Amino acid sequence: MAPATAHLDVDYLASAAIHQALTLGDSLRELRAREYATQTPLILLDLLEGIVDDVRDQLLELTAGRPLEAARRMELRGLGQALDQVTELSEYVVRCADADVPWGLVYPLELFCRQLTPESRMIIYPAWRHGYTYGELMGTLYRIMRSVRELPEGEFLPGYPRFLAVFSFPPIQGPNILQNAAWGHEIGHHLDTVFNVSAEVLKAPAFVQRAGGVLTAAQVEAPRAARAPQGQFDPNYERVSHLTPIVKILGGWVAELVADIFSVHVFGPASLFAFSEIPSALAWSEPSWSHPPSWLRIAAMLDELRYLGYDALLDAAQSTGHRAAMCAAVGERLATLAQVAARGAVEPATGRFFASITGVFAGARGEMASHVRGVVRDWACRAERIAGDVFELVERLDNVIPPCEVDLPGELVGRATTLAAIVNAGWFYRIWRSLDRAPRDGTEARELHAELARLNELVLKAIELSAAKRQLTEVGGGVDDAL
Amino acid sequence: MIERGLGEQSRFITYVLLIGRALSTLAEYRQLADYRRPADFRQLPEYRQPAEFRRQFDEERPQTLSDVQRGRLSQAADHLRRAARAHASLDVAAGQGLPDLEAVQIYQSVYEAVALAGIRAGDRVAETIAGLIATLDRIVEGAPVAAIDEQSLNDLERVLDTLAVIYSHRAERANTADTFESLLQWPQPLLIWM
Amino acid sequence: MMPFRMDGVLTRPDLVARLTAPVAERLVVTPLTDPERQIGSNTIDLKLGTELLVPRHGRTAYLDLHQRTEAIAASLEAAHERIPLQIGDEFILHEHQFVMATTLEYVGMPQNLAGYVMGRSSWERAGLHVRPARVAPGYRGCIQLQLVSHKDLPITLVTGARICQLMLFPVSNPVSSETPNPVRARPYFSPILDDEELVQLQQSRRGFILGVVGTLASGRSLLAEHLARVHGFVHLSLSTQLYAEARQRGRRPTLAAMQELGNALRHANGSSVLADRLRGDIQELQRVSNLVITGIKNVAEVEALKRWSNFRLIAVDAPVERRYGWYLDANRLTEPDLSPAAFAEFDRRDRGVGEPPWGQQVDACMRLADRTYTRDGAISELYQKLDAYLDELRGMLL
Repeated sequence: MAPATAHLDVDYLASAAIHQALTLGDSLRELRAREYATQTPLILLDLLEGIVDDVRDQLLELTAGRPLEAARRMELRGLGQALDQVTELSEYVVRCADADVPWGLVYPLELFCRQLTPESRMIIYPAWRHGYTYGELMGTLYRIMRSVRELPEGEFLPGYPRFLAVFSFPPIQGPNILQNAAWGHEIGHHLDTVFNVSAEVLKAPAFVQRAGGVLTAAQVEAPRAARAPQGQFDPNYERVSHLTPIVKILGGWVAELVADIFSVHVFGPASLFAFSEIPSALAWSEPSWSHPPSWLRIAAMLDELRYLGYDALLDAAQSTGHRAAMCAAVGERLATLAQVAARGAVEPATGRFFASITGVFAGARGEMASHVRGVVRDWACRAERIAGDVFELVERLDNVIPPCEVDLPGELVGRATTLAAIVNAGWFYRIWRSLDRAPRDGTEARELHAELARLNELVLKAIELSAAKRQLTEVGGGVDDAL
Repeated sequence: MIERGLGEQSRFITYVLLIGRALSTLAEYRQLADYRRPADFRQLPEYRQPAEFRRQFDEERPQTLSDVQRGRLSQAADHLRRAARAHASLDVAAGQGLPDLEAVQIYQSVYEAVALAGIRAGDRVAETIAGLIATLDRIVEGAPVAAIDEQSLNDLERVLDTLAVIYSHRAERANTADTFESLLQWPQPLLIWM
Repeated sequence: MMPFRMDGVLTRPDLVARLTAPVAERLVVTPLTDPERQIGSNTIDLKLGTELLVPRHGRTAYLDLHQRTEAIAASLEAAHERIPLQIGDEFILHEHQFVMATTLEYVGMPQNLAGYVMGRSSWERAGLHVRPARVAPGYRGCIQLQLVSHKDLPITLVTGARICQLMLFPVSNPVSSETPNPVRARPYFSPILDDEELVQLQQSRRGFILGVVGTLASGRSLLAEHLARVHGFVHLSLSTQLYAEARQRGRRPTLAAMQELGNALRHANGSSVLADRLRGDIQELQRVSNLVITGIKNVAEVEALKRWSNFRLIAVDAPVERRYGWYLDANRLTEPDLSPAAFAEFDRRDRGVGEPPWGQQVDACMRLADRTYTRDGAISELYQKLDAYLDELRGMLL
């Protein structure tokens, strides 16, 4: 039995953790004094400060009045690691103050997301390393809080959002608003988190049956047994070593495809165009550990666009004049992407391993789409919702006017339009005018670059003005930023 | 692309706290046995009256675990049970759905903790884990220290300590792993790239 | 102060007609959220936009606008902070403080209308002065506003509030612009950066720049060395960048390699790229010295250099047989096996035969020269002629 004497390492651990808590508390208070354009960073700060205060109080209680036993070591370490994670999370607050954030786009995106999921807040920050990413912070924060305070599962703090999404984007794309339609995919991940679609897909009997075949085959094909630690043999350990990667890949691919399908519901064809412009998307159409092959993603998005009625909208035969030319150009782009998808479907996947996993999804696409459609309500970017606006907005772009509202003949005030219509008008215009063609020389490259910069400037301005118009003309049309 | 690192990190931190608190509680449980009522209270300082004596030893020194303490040990037992149940979730052919990867991670961590703690379980890891769970259950049900086999208590503490260290290392690595090579090795949390 | 006739100002019926005209001729003010209130008897009220440019005190000693374009831009950026705001946000303008902003509305002016933006009297009386600014025909963007507090009390600005008004009048003789106007949607710095006469004013106090162009081995480099050695000129060469490029690519700087590299660079970045890249150095160096520039091969380079008002171009030529001999004398080590035919081929290429528009064009460059010399014999005769020309130039500049 261990005597209750003082242990130097435990004392140091406690001392370091207490000082870390005090320092962290001070630095969070300093962050609070900065200016932020929205309330969301302050919400995050509140939660972080709460965790730090709880940890500090527990540490002081542990050390007060009696020597620390050695057995406290791991409890202290856990509290210290909770502080480490708070330190990492506070970085998101700092990033909110970054000047590279395109605030003209952030407010309308928050408005849009708040309409879809009222309990959501979002943070957007530039990140050089990771490109476009999504993370969900409230889950992490609640887990830490419950663990530190020893609260039961399922308890939420009243007055705080259920979801705190963090989106990152590559700073070089900050001015490229049309490319930022790739956020549709990250918003898709957020919607997946809110509506729990991936988890449902992974439990669906049809999917489990398809996946089961792959997992069983993996077990059968297991090479010589993996050695367990200490030279012991555990058959379950061996199975786990072969099954775990496959299960992780399946889960990852489901999440990515669900996000792709959601993205089309959020931004329509613009999501697919933005995805196809990412150099790695088309050039590397092979599957990876984290993402399904590009052709599969494109096929899923094209299926969804068909479901949303875009085939009919872009039928050039039904239009005349500029509109026919525009429909033909956009339709041709979609047809090209469809060929990419078709080519990928018949080419063998890299290796037997990915071939069998890809086979699971070739058949499961429809099931995933039906799960997504089950939760999407009237906010989906159906073709008929933007049909009345997008061609009028393109005409404004052609006359160097931001497409922030639809002109009504003879009227001084235009009709309000939607974020999706504006972004799609930008893409339609860009494809129609071949602004993304490969330049022949440096001079043409600079001219095209200037035109694209101008287009992006107009589209970003339109997004800002459209949101401003809503705030100024509709009651309660502003972003609800109050705590 | 999803940033999974932070979620994994917080999960492992909660495990460190859960197991760490269980260890602290086990130490407090051992100290209950230190309670010895002096046979002769006249050894006490003169100003202490019998009533005060009783207050000092009865009120300040609890004789049984509190509800909070029992709750902590019970959570640790549930945690080990989840590891034990992970076996069944691996049997995909029986149509039980895809394996619960979190439970599998816990199972592998517990398996390694048992091995690293030097408990010679041979091929019977599952039985060893069941034994640890049984020890915890008995303590939660109120068994005095004297009724628990000393070796079982030592094994339990050693395994839990090793397990907490494993989780602590996982938490530190959770947000830094950035390649998929780790996918095929000892399962580590992943940061997935677009 | 207003340079237009008062009876030319558009009144409300005209304004409404212009605002609802077909899109190609329309006066664009978008979005108009409250036309009843915004369109007055002869003005249109506009709101304060959502981005401010605020001077950052204490970081910059002074703004030197009499320097290189890039340096001016950097100074202005460092001296200001961009503040993004939401609709309804407040900003406190302190006494006598100056900030830049834009209107919330995007304005598109047809070619036959011009305008002035100025403050509204209600805000002026409260202490906010909006400096009157011209809005040119064809303008596209949010109108740039310069806001000053002209009282001794701070005043609160609110984004989305109507703080200024636009007065419009028809243009007597509309001129259509060939190049598309840039779109100005955010506050941006003064176009003083585009005032080239500032650069010329700077140059007028300095010496001059001599460019030397000529056929291969005619003595261009010797002339440049003479200017440097005897007259203290600083020698710059457009080829220096090509040598650096060749070194970087691990290639020997042979004649063929240099021609090829030069063409590639001009093709990728525009024909005047080598001259443009030297612009900064020229601007710095001519504060302290006269300059001689060699390595000129393309007409675009000559035109870029001629933008300096004190630039003069000298051309030098000689018969090709004599130049072949001079070339061998100078380059026996690097190109020992160069035949007369091969040299003639390089020479033709250098002069522009069979070259694309971004290639070598020495003949065309020579035709643009202010003075042309032919080298018959010793180089010393050429030096004397050059010295005489320098005297002539100095006399002119005095």
